[in-house]
Amino acid sequence: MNEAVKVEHLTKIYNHSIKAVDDISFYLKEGEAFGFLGPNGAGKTTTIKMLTTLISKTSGQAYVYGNEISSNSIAIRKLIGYTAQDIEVDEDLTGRENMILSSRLYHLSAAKARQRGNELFEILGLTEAADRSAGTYSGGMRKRLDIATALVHDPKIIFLDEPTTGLDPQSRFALWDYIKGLNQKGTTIFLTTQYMEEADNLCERLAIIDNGKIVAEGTPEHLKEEIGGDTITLEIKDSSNSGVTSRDNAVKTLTGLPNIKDIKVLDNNRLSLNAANGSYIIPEIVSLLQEQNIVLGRLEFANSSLDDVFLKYTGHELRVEEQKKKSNVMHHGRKRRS
Amino acid sequence: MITETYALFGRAMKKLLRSPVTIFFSLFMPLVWITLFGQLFSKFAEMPGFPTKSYMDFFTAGVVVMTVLTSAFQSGLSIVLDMDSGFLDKLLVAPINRLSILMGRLLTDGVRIIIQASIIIAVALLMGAHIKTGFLGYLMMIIIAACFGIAWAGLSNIIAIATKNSEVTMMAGMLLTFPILFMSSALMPINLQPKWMETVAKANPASYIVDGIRSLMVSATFDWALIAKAFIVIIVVALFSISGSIIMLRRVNH
Ligand SMILES: Nc1ncnc2c1ncn2[C@@H]1O[C@H](COP(=O)(O)OP(=O)(O)O)[C@@H](O)[C@H]1O
Ligand SMILES: [Mg+2]
Repeated sequence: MNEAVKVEHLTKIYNHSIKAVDDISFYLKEGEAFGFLGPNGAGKTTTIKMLTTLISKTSGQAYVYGNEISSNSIAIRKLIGYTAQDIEVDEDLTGRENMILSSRLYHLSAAKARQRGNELFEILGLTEAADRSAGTYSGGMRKRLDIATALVHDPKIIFLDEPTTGLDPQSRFALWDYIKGLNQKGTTIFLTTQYMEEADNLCERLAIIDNGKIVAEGTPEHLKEEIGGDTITLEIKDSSNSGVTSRDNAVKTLTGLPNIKDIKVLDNNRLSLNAANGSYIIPEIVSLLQEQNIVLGRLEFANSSLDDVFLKYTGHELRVEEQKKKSNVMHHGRKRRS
Repeated sequence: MITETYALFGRAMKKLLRSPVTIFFSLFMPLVWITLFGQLFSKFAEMPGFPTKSYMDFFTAGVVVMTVLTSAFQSGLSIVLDMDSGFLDKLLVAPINRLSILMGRLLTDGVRIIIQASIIIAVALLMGAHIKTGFLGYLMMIIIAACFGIAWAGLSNIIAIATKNSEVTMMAGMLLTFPILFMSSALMPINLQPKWMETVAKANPASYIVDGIRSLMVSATFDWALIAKAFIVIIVVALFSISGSIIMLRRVNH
Protein backbone atom coordinates (compact mmCIF):
# COMPACT_ATOMS: atom_id res chain seq x y z
CA MET A 1 0.00 0.00 0.00
CA ASN A 2 1.32 3.40 -0.94
CA GLU A 3 0.67 5.99 1.66
CA ALA A 4 0.11 9.54 0.49
CA VAL A 5 -0.03 10.82 4.04
CA LYS A 6 1.07 9.14 7.21
CA VAL A 7 0.54 10.77 10.58
CA GLU A 8 1.81 9.42 13.87
CA HIS A 9 1.05 10.91 17.26
CA LEU A 10 0.83 14.39 15.79
CA THR A 11 0.18 17.12 18.35
CA LYS A 12 -0.15 20.87 18.11
CA ILE A 13 -0.20 23.12 21.13
CA TYR A 14 -0.68 26.82 20.45
CA ASN A 15 0.99 29.32 22.77
CA HIS A 16 2.07 26.58 25.19
CA SER A 17 -1.51 26.20 26.32
CA ILE A 18 -4.14 25.43 23.68
CA LYS A 19 -4.03 21.79 22.65
CA ALA A 20 -5.63 22.06 19.23
CA VAL A 21 -4.54 18.65 17.95
CA ASP A 22 -3.98 15.94 20.49
CA ASP A 23 -1.89 12.92 19.55
CA ILE A 24 -3.63 11.91 16.34
CA SER A 25 -2.56 9.12 13.99
CA PHE A 26 -4.03 8.28 10.59
CA TYR A 27 -3.02 7.64 7.01
CA LEU A 28 -4.22 8.31 3.48
CA LYS A 29 -3.72 5.83 0.70
CA GLU A 30 -2.63 7.17 -2.63
CA GLY A 31 -5.64 8.02 -4.77
CA GLU A 32 -8.02 7.95 -1.86
CA ALA A 33 -10.59 10.54 -0.85
CA PHE A 34 -10.27 10.91 2.90
CA GLY A 35 -12.11 13.28 5.17
CA PHE A 36 -12.02 14.77 8.61
CA LEU A 37 -15.48 15.25 10.02
CA GLY A 38 -15.80 17.43 13.07
CA PRO A 39 -17.35 20.55 14.54
CA ASN A 40 -15.86 24.02 14.68
CA GLY A 41 -12.75 24.07 16.82
CA ALA A 42 -12.13 20.33 16.53
CA GLY A 43 -8.64 20.80 15.12
CA LYS A 44 -9.29 20.22 11.42
CA THR A 45 -7.66 23.38 10.13
CA THR A 46 -4.73 22.99 12.48
CA THR A 47 -4.08 19.49 11.15
CA ILE A 48 -4.30 20.63 7.53
CA LYS A 49 -2.00 23.56 8.19
CA MET A 50 0.62 21.30 9.72
CA LEU A 51 0.43 18.90 6.76
CA THR A 52 0.68 21.75 4.25
CA THR A 53 3.74 23.14 6.09
CA LEU A 54 1.99 26.38 7.03
CA ILE A 55 2.44 25.89 10.75
CA SER A 56 4.91 23.86 12.75
CA LYS A 57 4.00 20.77 14.73
CA THR A 58 4.56 20.55 18.46
CA SER A 59 5.35 16.82 18.49
CA GLY A 60 4.82 13.60 16.59
CA GLN A 61 5.58 12.76 12.99
CA ALA A 62 3.81 13.31 9.72
CA TYR A 63 4.86 12.43 6.20
CA VAL A 64 3.43 13.59 2.90
CA TYR A 65 4.56 11.24 0.15
CA GLY A 66 7.38 10.19 2.41
CA ASN A 67 8.54 13.72 3.18
CA GLU A 68 8.61 14.69 6.83
CA ILE A 69 6.61 17.89 7.35
CA SER A 70 9.12 19.83 9.39
CA SER A 71 12.35 18.79 7.72
CA ASN A 72 11.23 18.48 4.12
CA SER A 73 8.71 21.24 3.67
CA ILE A 74 10.01 22.40 0.28
CA ALA A 75 9.54 18.96 -1.29
CA ILE A 76 6.01 18.82 0.12
CA ARG A 77 5.05 22.22 -1.26
CA LYS A 78 5.84 21.04 -4.78
CA LEU A 79 3.50 18.07 -4.46
CA ILE A 80 0.44 19.51 -2.83
CA GLY A 81 -2.45 21.80 -3.58
CA TYR A 82 -4.29 23.57 -0.80
CA THR A 83 -7.40 25.65 -0.45
CA ALA A 84 -8.07 27.24 2.89
CA GLN A 85 -11.32 27.46 4.74
CA ASP A 86 -11.50 31.15 3.84
CA ILE A 87 -11.42 31.86 0.17
CA GLU A 88 -8.00 33.04 -0.94
CA VAL A 89 -8.24 34.78 -4.26
CA ASP A 90 -7.08 38.29 -5.06
CA GLU A 91 -10.27 40.22 -5.61
CA ASP A 92 -8.48 43.06 -7.36
CA LEU A 93 -7.36 40.70 -10.11
CA THR A 94 -9.46 38.94 -12.72
CA GLY A 95 -9.99 35.20 -12.55
CA ARG A 96 -7.44 34.69 -15.29
CA GLU A 97 -4.88 36.93 -13.63
CA ASN A 98 -5.27 34.93 -10.43
CA MET A 99 -4.66 31.75 -12.42
CA ILE A 100 -1.64 33.12 -14.21
CA LEU A 101 -0.15 34.34 -10.95
CA SER A 102 -0.46 30.87 -9.44
CA SER A 103 0.92 29.26 -12.58
CA ARG A 104 3.97 31.50 -12.47
CA LEU A 105 4.54 30.71 -8.82
CA TYR A 106 4.59 27.02 -9.77
CA HIS A 107 6.93 27.78 -12.67
CA LEU A 108 4.65 26.83 -15.53
CA SER A 109 5.64 28.37 -18.84
CA ALA A 110 3.40 31.15 -20.11
CA ALA A 111 1.94 28.91 -22.82
CA LYS A 112 1.36 26.04 -20.41
CA ALA A 113 -0.18 28.43 -17.90
CA ARG A 114 -2.65 29.72 -20.47
CA GLN A 115 -3.60 26.24 -21.61
CA ARG A 116 -3.98 24.88 -18.07
CA GLY A 117 -5.98 27.97 -17.09
CA ASN A 118 -8.43 27.51 -19.95
CA GLU A 119 -8.73 23.82 -19.15
CA LEU A 120 -9.51 24.43 -15.47
CA PHE A 121 -11.88 27.31 -16.21
CA GLU A 122 -13.75 25.01 -18.57
CA ILE A 123 -14.02 22.18 -16.05
CA LEU A 124 -15.04 24.52 -13.25
CA GLY A 125 -17.46 26.51 -15.36
CA LEU A 126 -15.61 29.79 -15.06
CA THR A 127 -14.84 30.40 -18.73
CA GLU A 128 -17.45 33.14 -19.06
CA ALA A 129 -16.21 34.99 -16.01
CA ALA A 130 -12.49 34.45 -16.53
CA ASP A 131 -11.75 38.04 -17.46
CA ARG A 132 -13.92 39.65 -14.83
CA SER A 133 -12.52 40.91 -11.57
CA ALA A 134 -12.74 38.17 -8.95
CA GLY A 135 -14.31 40.76 -6.65
CA THR A 136 -17.50 40.48 -8.71
CA TYR A 137 -17.70 36.68 -8.32
CA SER A 138 -20.28 34.91 -6.18
CA GLY A 139 -19.07 32.84 -3.23
CA GLY A 140 -19.35 29.63 -5.22
CA MET A 141 -17.38 31.05 -8.14
CA ARG A 142 -14.67 32.39 -5.88
CA LYS A 143 -14.32 29.00 -4.24
CA ARG A 144 -14.04 27.34 -7.63
CA LEU A 145 -11.44 29.87 -8.71
CA ASP A 146 -9.59 29.25 -5.47
CA ILE A 147 -9.60 25.52 -6.16
CA ALA A 148 -8.55 26.09 -9.77
CA THR A 149 -5.53 28.14 -8.67
CA ALA A 150 -4.55 25.33 -6.31
CA LEU A 151 -4.58 22.84 -9.18
CA VAL A 152 -2.42 24.60 -11.77
CA HIS A 153 0.55 22.33 -11.12
CA ASP A 154 -1.53 19.16 -11.17
CA PRO A 155 -0.75 18.24 -7.56
CA LYS A 156 -0.66 14.62 -6.42
CA ILE A 157 -2.78 15.50 -3.41
CA ILE A 158 -5.10 18.36 -2.65
CA PHE A 159 -6.06 19.54 0.82
CA LEU A 160 -9.50 21.12 0.92
CA ASP A 161 -10.37 22.77 4.20
CA GLU A 162 -14.16 22.92 4.47
CA PRO A 163 -14.60 23.40 0.73
CA THR A 164 -18.35 23.94 0.83
CA THR A 165 -18.95 25.72 4.13
CA GLY A 166 -20.99 28.83 3.44
CA LEU A 167 -21.98 27.86 -0.10
CA ASP A 168 -25.54 27.57 -1.31
CA PRO A 169 -26.76 24.00 -1.93
CA GLN A 170 -26.50 24.30 -5.69
CA SER A 171 -22.86 25.39 -5.58
CA ARG A 172 -22.20 22.72 -3.00
CA PHE A 173 -23.50 19.92 -5.21
CA ALA A 174 -21.61 21.24 -8.21
CA LEU A 175 -18.43 21.29 -6.17
CA TRP A 176 -19.05 17.76 -4.94
CA ASP A 177 -19.26 16.56 -8.51
CA TYR A 178 -16.06 18.32 -9.33
CA ILE A 179 -14.21 16.92 -6.33
CA LYS A 180 -15.39 13.43 -7.21
CA GLY A 181 -14.22 13.89 -10.79
CA LEU A 182 -10.84 15.06 -9.57
CA ASN A 183 -10.53 12.03 -7.35
CA GLN A 184 -11.55 9.70 -10.17
CA LYS A 185 -8.74 11.12 -12.27
CA GLY A 186 -6.32 10.02 -9.58
CA THR A 187 -5.82 13.02 -7.31
CA THR A 188 -5.62 12.07 -3.66
CA ILE A 189 -8.03 14.17 -1.64
CA PHE A 190 -7.95 15.20 1.97
CA LEU A 191 -10.92 17.28 2.93
CA THR A 192 -12.42 18.51 6.14
CA THR A 193 -16.06 19.15 6.70
CA GLN A 194 -18.70 19.85 9.29
CA TYR A 195 -21.37 18.23 7.15
CA MET A 196 -22.36 14.61 7.54
CA GLU A 197 -23.72 14.28 4.02
CA GLU A 198 -20.57 15.74 2.59
CA ALA A 199 -18.37 13.21 4.36
CA ASP A 200 -20.78 10.44 3.41
CA ASN A 201 -20.90 11.56 -0.18
CA LEU A 202 -17.29 12.33 -0.95
CA CYS A 203 -15.11 10.27 1.35
CA GLU A 204 -14.11 6.70 0.88
CA ARG A 205 -12.79 6.80 4.41
CA LEU A 206 -13.14 9.30 7.17
CA ALA A 207 -12.02 10.13 10.65
CA ILE A 208 -14.26 11.79 13.17
CA ILE A 209 -12.38 14.45 15.07
CA ASP A 210 -13.56 16.19 18.20
CA ASN A 211 -11.59 18.28 20.66
CA GLY A 212 -8.33 17.56 18.87
CA LYS A 213 -8.72 13.79 19.03
CA ILE A 214 -9.72 11.23 16.43
CA VAL A 215 -12.62 9.39 18.01
CA ALA A 216 -13.50 7.03 15.15
CA GLU A 217 -12.15 6.10 11.76
CA GLY A 218 -13.31 3.97 8.85
CA THR A 219 -15.47 3.94 5.75
CA PRO A 220 -18.79 5.73 6.17
CA GLU A 221 -20.52 2.37 5.73
CA HIS A 222 -18.34 0.71 8.31
CA LEU A 223 -18.92 3.47 10.81
CA LYS A 224 -22.65 3.38 10.29
CA GLU A 225 -22.65 -0.36 10.51
CA GLU A 226 -21.01 -0.20 13.88
CA ILE A 227 -23.98 1.56 15.29
CA GLY A 228 -26.36 -1.03 13.95
CA GLY A 229 -27.10 -0.56 10.27
CA ASP A 230 -30.26 0.58 8.51
CA THR A 231 -33.76 -0.56 9.09
CA ILE A 232 -35.93 -1.68 6.19
CA THR A 233 -39.58 -2.40 6.89
CA LEU A 234 -41.52 -4.46 4.36
CA GLU A 235 -45.27 -4.76 4.18
CA ILE A 236 -46.34 -7.80 2.23
CA LYS A 237 -49.68 -7.65 0.45
CA ASP A 238 -52.17 -10.19 1.67
CA SER A 239 -52.46 -12.38 -1.37
CA SER A 240 -55.79 -14.04 -2.08
CA ASN A 241 -55.18 -17.35 -0.27
CA SER A 242 -52.86 -16.63 2.67
CA GLY A 243 -50.63 -13.70 3.46
CA VAL A 244 -48.94 -15.69 6.17
CA THR A 245 -47.38 -18.01 3.65
CA SER A 246 -46.21 -15.11 1.57
CA ARG A 247 -44.64 -13.58 4.63
CA ASP A 248 -42.86 -16.79 5.59
CA ASN A 249 -41.86 -17.21 2.01
CA ALA A 250 -40.34 -13.73 2.12
CA VAL A 251 -38.44 -14.53 5.29
CA LYS A 252 -37.08 -17.65 3.65
CA THR A 253 -36.10 -15.76 0.50
CA LEU A 254 -34.25 -13.03 2.32
CA THR A 255 -32.54 -15.07 4.99
CA GLY A 256 -28.87 -15.48 4.37
CA LEU A 257 -28.52 -12.58 1.98
CA PRO A 258 -25.23 -10.87 2.59
CA ASN A 259 -25.68 -7.54 4.39
CA ILE A 260 -28.94 -8.55 6.03
CA LYS A 261 -28.06 -9.04 9.63
CA ASP A 262 -31.40 -9.68 11.17
CA ILE A 263 -34.99 -10.26 10.15
CA LYS A 264 -37.80 -9.60 12.58
CA VAL A 265 -41.43 -10.55 12.02
CA LEU A 266 -43.52 -7.61 13.19
CA ASP A 267 -46.99 -8.96 12.51
CA ASN A 268 -48.93 -10.97 9.97
CA ASN A 269 -47.71 -9.03 7.00
CA ARG A 270 -44.81 -6.91 8.15
CA LEU A 271 -41.12 -7.67 8.38
CA SER A 272 -38.30 -5.55 9.71
CA LEU A 273 -34.84 -6.08 8.30
CA ASN A 274 -31.66 -4.83 9.84
CA ALA A 275 -29.15 -4.32 7.07
CA ALA A 276 -25.75 -2.86 6.55
CA ASN A 277 -25.66 -0.48 3.64
CA GLY A 278 -29.41 -0.83 3.32
CA SER A 279 -30.05 1.59 0.52
CA TYR A 280 -27.92 -0.49 -1.82
CA ILE A 281 -29.71 -3.78 -1.23
CA ILE A 282 -33.25 -2.52 -1.61
CA PRO A 283 -33.33 -3.17 -5.38
CA GLU A 284 -32.11 -6.70 -4.79
CA ILE A 285 -34.75 -7.32 -2.16
CA VAL A 286 -37.47 -6.05 -4.41
CA SER A 287 -36.46 -8.16 -7.36
CA LEU A 288 -35.94 -11.31 -5.28
CA LEU A 289 -39.42 -10.99 -3.83
CA GLN A 290 -40.86 -10.37 -7.25
CA GLU A 291 -39.31 -13.56 -8.54
CA GLN A 292 -41.17 -15.41 -5.80
CA ASN A 293 -44.38 -13.63 -6.76
CA ILE A 294 -44.54 -11.95 -3.40
CA VAL A 295 -46.32 -8.63 -3.73
CA LEU A 296 -45.03 -5.74 -1.67
CA GLY A 297 -47.50 -3.27 -0.25
CA ARG A 298 -44.93 -0.75 0.86
CA LEU A 299 -41.36 -0.42 1.88
CA GLU A 300 -39.96 1.90 4.54
CA PHE A 301 -36.35 2.73 4.93
CA ALA A 302 -34.66 4.29 7.94
CA ASN A 303 -31.12 5.13 7.31
CA SER A 304 -28.54 5.04 10.07
CA SER A 305 -26.70 8.24 9.55
CA LEU A 306 -23.30 9.54 10.40
CA ASP A 307 -25.16 11.78 12.81
CA ASP A 308 -25.82 8.71 14.88
CA VAL A 309 -22.19 7.70 14.56
CA PHE A 310 -21.06 11.10 15.69
CA LEU A 311 -23.38 11.05 18.64
CA LYS A 312 -22.20 7.61 19.64
CA TYR A 313 -18.52 8.49 19.62
CA THR A 314 -18.57 12.00 21.01
CA GLY A 315 -21.60 11.93 23.25
CA HIS A 316 -22.94 15.08 21.64
CA GLU A 317 -24.57 16.00 18.38
CA LEU A 318 -22.71 17.62 15.56
CA ARG A 319 -24.07 21.08 15.24
CA VAL A 320 -22.89 23.11 12.32
CA GLU A 321 -22.04 26.53 13.53
CA GLU A 322 -21.64 28.99 10.76
CA GLN A 323 -19.20 31.80 11.43
CA LYS A 324 -19.11 32.28 15.17
CA LYS A 325 -20.47 35.68 16.07
CA LYS A 326 -18.87 37.42 18.94
CA SER A 327 -21.66 38.92 20.94
CA ASN A 328 -22.95 38.91 24.47
CA VAL A 329 -25.50 36.34 23.47
CA MET A 330 -22.65 33.87 23.26
CA HIS A 331 -22.29 33.94 27.03
CA HIS A 332 -25.77 32.60 27.47
CA GLY A 333 -25.39 30.05 24.72
CA ARG A 334 -24.60 26.47 25.49
CA LYS A 335 -20.93 26.01 25.40
CA ARG A 336 -19.53 22.77 24.19
CA ARG A 337 -17.12 21.18 26.62
CA SER A 338 -13.69 22.48 25.79
CA MET B 1 13.15 33.16 -7.62
CA ILE B 2 13.29 35.82 -10.35
CA THR B 3 10.14 34.44 -12.02
CA GLU B 4 8.40 34.39 -8.64
CA THR B 5 9.48 37.89 -7.71
CA TYR B 6 8.43 39.16 -11.11
CA ALA B 7 5.03 37.46 -10.84
CA LEU B 8 4.40 38.95 -7.42
CA PHE B 9 5.71 42.34 -8.50
CA GLY B 10 3.26 42.15 -11.40
CA ARG B 11 0.42 41.37 -9.02
CA ALA B 12 1.26 44.25 -6.69
CA MET B 13 1.71 46.66 -9.60
CA LYS B 14 -1.70 45.73 -11.03
CA LYS B 15 -3.24 46.39 -7.64
CA LEU B 16 -1.43 49.72 -7.39
CA LEU B 17 -2.49 50.84 -10.85
CA ARG B 18 -6.09 49.77 -10.23
CA SER B 19 -6.32 52.05 -7.21
CA PRO B 20 -3.93 54.85 -8.15
CA VAL B 21 -5.42 57.07 -5.48
CA THR B 22 -3.15 55.31 -2.97
CA ILE B 23 -0.24 57.00 -4.72
CA PHE B 24 -1.60 60.34 -3.58
CA PHE B 25 -2.34 59.54 0.06
CA SER B 26 1.25 59.75 1.16
CA LEU B 27 1.82 62.83 -1.01
CA PHE B 28 -0.59 64.95 0.94
CA MET B 29 1.60 65.89 3.91
CA PRO B 30 4.76 66.48 1.88
CA LEU B 31 2.82 68.77 -0.48
CA VAL B 32 1.48 70.77 2.46
CA TRP B 33 4.98 71.04 3.85
CA ILE B 34 6.62 72.11 0.68
CA THR B 35 4.04 74.78 -0.06
CA LEU B 36 3.55 76.11 3.47
CA PHE B 37 6.84 75.57 5.27
CA GLY B 38 8.87 76.29 2.19
CA GLN B 39 7.48 79.84 2.44
CA LEU B 40 7.31 80.04 6.22
CA PHE B 41 10.96 79.12 6.78
CA SER B 42 12.33 81.01 3.81
CA LYS B 43 14.08 83.49 6.11
CA PHE B 44 16.22 80.66 7.56
CA ALA B 45 18.37 80.95 4.50
CA GLU B 46 19.52 84.37 5.67
CA MET B 47 21.06 82.94 8.86
CA PRO B 48 24.83 83.04 8.98
CA GLY B 49 26.25 79.60 8.20
CA PHE B 50 23.22 78.48 6.17
CA PRO B 51 24.52 76.47 3.23
CA THR B 52 22.17 77.67 0.48
CA LYS B 53 20.88 81.02 -0.66
CA SER B 54 17.31 79.83 -1.02
CA TYR B 55 15.56 77.74 1.62
CA MET B 56 13.69 75.83 -1.12
CA ASP B 57 16.96 74.51 -2.50
CA PHE B 58 17.78 73.27 0.98
CA PHE B 59 14.34 72.09 1.98
CA THR B 60 13.40 70.05 -1.12
CA ALA B 61 15.70 67.14 -0.22
CA GLY B 62 14.10 67.03 3.23
CA VAL B 63 10.62 66.86 1.77
CA VAL B 64 11.66 64.18 -0.70
CA VAL B 65 12.92 62.08 2.19
CA MET B 66 9.74 62.82 4.10
CA THR B 67 7.75 61.49 1.14
CA VAL B 68 9.91 58.40 1.03
CA LEU B 69 9.51 57.72 4.76
CA THR B 70 5.75 58.25 4.73
CA SER B 71 5.30 56.08 1.69
CA ALA B 72 7.69 53.32 2.75
CA PHE B 73 6.04 53.09 6.14
CA GLN B 74 2.82 52.05 4.40
CA SER B 75 4.42 49.06 2.76
CA GLY B 76 3.53 46.69 5.58
CA LEU B 77 -0.19 47.37 5.19
CA SER B 78 -0.36 45.19 2.11
CA ILE B 79 1.10 42.20 3.85
CA VAL B 80 -1.34 42.63 6.74
CA LEU B 81 -4.15 42.62 4.18
CA ASP B 82 -2.73 39.44 2.68
CA MET B 83 -2.47 37.86 6.12
CA ASP B 84 -6.05 38.81 6.95
CA SER B 85 -7.45 37.56 3.66
CA GLY B 86 -5.37 34.39 3.84
CA PHE B 87 -3.69 35.17 0.53
CA LEU B 88 -0.32 35.02 2.24
CA ASP B 89 -0.98 31.37 3.11
CA LYS B 90 -1.55 30.68 -0.54
CA LEU B 91 1.87 32.14 -1.27
CA LEU B 92 3.52 30.35 1.65
CA VAL B 93 2.15 26.98 0.57
CA ALA B 94 3.68 27.39 -2.88
CA PRO B 95 7.26 26.19 -3.39
CA ILE B 96 8.64 29.70 -3.62
CA ASN B 97 11.43 31.52 -1.90
CA ARG B 98 10.14 33.73 0.89
CA LEU B 99 12.43 36.50 -0.33
CA SER B 100 10.42 36.74 -3.54
CA ILE B 101 7.25 37.43 -1.55
CA LEU B 102 9.01 40.35 0.08
CA MET B 103 10.84 41.59 -3.00
CA GLY B 104 7.70 41.59 -5.16
CA ARG B 105 6.25 43.93 -2.57
CA LEU B 106 9.29 46.15 -2.09
CA LEU B 107 9.91 46.64 -5.80
CA THR B 108 6.36 47.89 -6.17
CA ASP B 109 6.99 50.28 -3.31
CA GLY B 110 10.05 51.41 -5.24
CA VAL B 111 7.94 52.22 -8.29
CA ARG B 112 5.40 54.04 -6.15
CA ILE B 113 8.15 56.07 -4.53
CA ILE B 114 9.66 56.97 -7.91
CA ILE B 115 6.30 58.38 -8.99
CA GLN B 116 5.80 60.22 -5.71
CA ALA B 117 9.34 61.63 -5.51
CA SER B 118 9.07 62.82 -9.10
CA ILE B 119 5.87 64.69 -8.32
CA ILE B 120 7.36 66.29 -5.21
CA ILE B 121 10.49 67.38 -7.05
CA ALA B 122 8.40 68.79 -9.88
CA VAL B 123 6.37 70.83 -7.40
CA ALA B 124 9.58 72.03 -5.72
CA LEU B 125 10.95 73.16 -9.07
CA LEU B 126 7.72 75.06 -9.70
CA MET B 127 8.15 76.68 -6.31
CA GLY B 128 11.57 77.95 -7.28
CA ALA B 129 14.00 75.19 -6.36
CA HIS B 130 16.89 74.35 -8.68
CA ILE B 131 18.80 71.18 -9.44
CA LYS B 132 22.32 72.32 -10.21
CA THR B 133 23.45 68.93 -11.51
CA GLY B 134 20.65 68.97 -14.08
CA PHE B 135 18.76 66.01 -15.42
CA LEU B 136 21.35 63.39 -14.46
CA GLY B 137 21.30 64.76 -10.95
CA TYR B 138 17.54 64.53 -10.95
CA LEU B 139 17.76 60.86 -11.97
CA MET B 140 20.27 60.18 -9.23
CA MET B 141 17.99 61.86 -6.68
CA ILE B 142 15.16 59.57 -7.71
CA ILE B 143 17.37 56.49 -7.57
CA ILE B 144 18.58 57.33 -4.07
CA ALA B 145 15.00 58.01 -2.96
CA ALA B 146 13.68 54.76 -4.43
CA CYS B 147 16.49 52.60 -3.03
CA PHE B 148 16.15 54.14 0.40
CA GLY B 149 12.39 53.67 0.17
CA ILE B 150 12.79 49.99 -0.65
CA ALA B 151 15.16 49.50 2.28
CA TRP B 152 12.92 51.45 4.65
CA ALA B 153 9.79 49.64 3.51
CA GLY B 154 11.36 46.47 4.88
CA LEU B 155 11.11 47.98 8.37
CA SER B 156 7.40 48.52 7.87
CA ASN B 157 7.07 44.87 6.88
CA ILE B 158 8.87 43.77 10.03
CA ILE B 159 6.39 45.74 12.13
CA ALA B 160 3.48 44.46 10.05
CA ILE B 161 4.40 40.79 10.24
CA ALA B 162 5.22 41.05 13.95
CA THR B 163 1.96 42.77 14.90
CA LYS B 164 -0.36 41.43 12.14
CA ASN B 165 -2.25 44.65 12.70
CA SER B 166 -2.77 47.38 10.12
CA GLU B 167 -3.57 50.12 12.65
CA VAL B 168 -0.39 49.48 14.61
CA THR B 169 1.61 49.39 11.38
CA MET B 170 0.10 52.73 10.28
CA MET B 171 0.55 54.36 13.67
CA ALA B 172 4.13 53.19 14.01
CA GLY B 173 4.87 54.78 10.65
CA MET B 174 3.20 58.06 11.49
CA LEU B 175 4.72 58.31 14.95
CA LEU B 176 8.22 57.53 13.72
CA THR B 177 8.31 59.65 10.56
CA PHE B 178 8.31 63.05 12.26
CA PRO B 179 10.94 62.45 14.95
CA ILE B 180 13.16 60.91 12.29
CA LEU B 181 12.73 63.97 10.08
CA PHE B 182 13.13 66.55 12.84
CA MET B 183 16.20 64.87 14.24
CA SER B 184 17.97 64.80 10.92
CA SER B 185 19.43 67.30 8.52
CA ALA B 186 16.10 67.53 6.70
CA LEU B 187 14.91 70.90 8.05
CA MET B 188 18.03 72.52 9.46
CA PRO B 189 21.68 72.12 8.61
CA ILE B 190 23.30 69.91 11.24
CA ASN B 191 25.90 72.56 12.13
CA LEU B 192 23.14 75.00 13.09
CA GLN B 193 21.45 72.55 15.44
CA PRO B 194 22.03 72.33 19.23
CA LYS B 195 24.89 70.04 20.16
CA TRP B 196 22.81 67.07 21.35
CA MET B 197 20.58 67.20 18.28
CA GLU B 198 23.61 67.32 16.11
CA THR B 199 24.80 64.06 17.68
CA VAL B 200 21.40 62.45 17.11
CA ALA B 201 21.21 63.75 13.56
CA LYS B 202 24.60 62.28 12.76
CA ALA B 203 23.43 58.87 13.96
CA ASN B 204 20.21 59.15 11.95
CA PRO B 205 20.29 57.27 8.63
CA ALA B 206 17.82 59.74 7.11
CA SER B 207 20.42 62.53 7.42
CA TYR B 208 22.75 60.78 4.99
CA ILE B 209 20.00 60.30 2.45
CA VAL B 210 18.95 63.94 2.77
CA ASP B 211 22.59 65.04 2.39
CA GLY B 212 23.11 62.85 -0.66
CA ILE B 213 19.98 64.09 -2.39
CA ARG B 214 20.63 67.67 -1.37
CA SER B 215 24.17 67.61 -2.70
CA LEU B 216 22.75 66.90 -6.16
CA MET B 217 20.62 70.03 -5.96
CA VAL B 218 23.08 72.50 -4.50
CA SER B 219 26.51 71.61 -5.83
CA ALA B 220 27.28 71.92 -9.50
CA THR B 221 29.06 68.58 -9.77
CA PHE B 222 28.23 65.16 -8.31
CA ASP B 223 29.56 64.96 -4.74
CA TRP B 224 30.49 61.30 -4.86
CA ALA B 225 31.52 61.15 -1.22
CA LEU B 226 28.05 62.14 -0.05
CA ILE B 227 26.36 59.93 -2.65
CA ALA B 228 28.48 56.97 -1.56
CA LYS B 229 27.60 57.60 2.07
CA ALA B 230 23.91 57.60 1.14
CA PHE B 231 24.27 54.24 -0.60
CA ILE B 232 26.22 52.74 2.29
CA VAL B 233 23.40 53.76 4.63
CA ILE B 234 20.86 52.28 2.19
CA ILE B 235 22.74 48.97 2.08
CA VAL B 236 23.01 48.77 5.86
CA VAL B 237 19.31 49.55 6.36
CA ALA B 238 18.34 47.11 3.59
CA LEU B 239 20.41 44.26 5.03
CA PHE B 240 18.81 44.77 8.40
CA SER B 241 15.25 45.31 7.22
CA ILE B 242 15.14 42.62 4.54
CA SER B 243 16.77 39.91 6.63
CA GLY B 244 14.54 40.91 9.54
CA SER B 245 11.43 40.65 7.37
CA ILE B 246 12.46 37.26 6.04
CA ILE B 247 13.06 35.94 9.54
CA MET B 248 9.63 37.23 10.56
CA LEU B 249 8.02 35.76 7.45
CA ARG B 250 9.58 32.34 8.08
CA ARG B 251 8.03 32.15 11.51
CA VAL B 252 4.69 33.71 10.69
CA ASN B 253 1.84 31.43 11.91
CA HIS B 254 4.12 29.24 13.99
N1 LIG C 1 -3.45 30.55 15.78
C1 LIG C 1 -4.07 30.03 16.86
N2 LIG C 1 -3.68 30.38 18.10
C2 LIG C 1 -4.28 29.85 19.18
N3 LIG C 1 -5.28 28.96 19.14
C3 LIG C 1 -5.72 28.55 17.94
C4 LIG C 1 -5.13 29.06 16.74
N4 LIG C 1 -5.76 28.49 15.70
C5 LIG C 1 -6.69 27.66 16.22
N5 LIG C 1 -6.67 27.69 17.57
C6 LIG C 1 -7.52 26.89 18.49
O1 LIG C 1 -7.27 25.54 18.22
C7 LIG C 1 -8.48 24.79 18.24
C8 LIG C 1 -8.68 24.08 16.92
O2 LIG C 1 -8.92 25.04 15.92
P1 LIG C 1 -9.04 24.67 14.39
O3 LIG C 1 -7.93 23.78 14.00
O4 LIG C 1 -9.18 25.93 13.65
O5 LIG C 1 -10.40 23.85 14.37
P2 LIG C 1 -11.40 23.56 13.16
O6 LIG C 1 -10.69 23.85 11.88
O7 LIG C 1 -11.74 22.12 13.31
O8 LIG C 1 -12.59 24.43 13.36
C9 LIG C 1 -9.57 25.77 18.59
O9 LIG C 1 -9.80 25.70 19.97
C10 LIG C 1 -9.00 27.10 18.22
O10 LIG C 1 -9.53 28.12 19.00
MG1 LIG D 1 -11.29 25.12 10.44
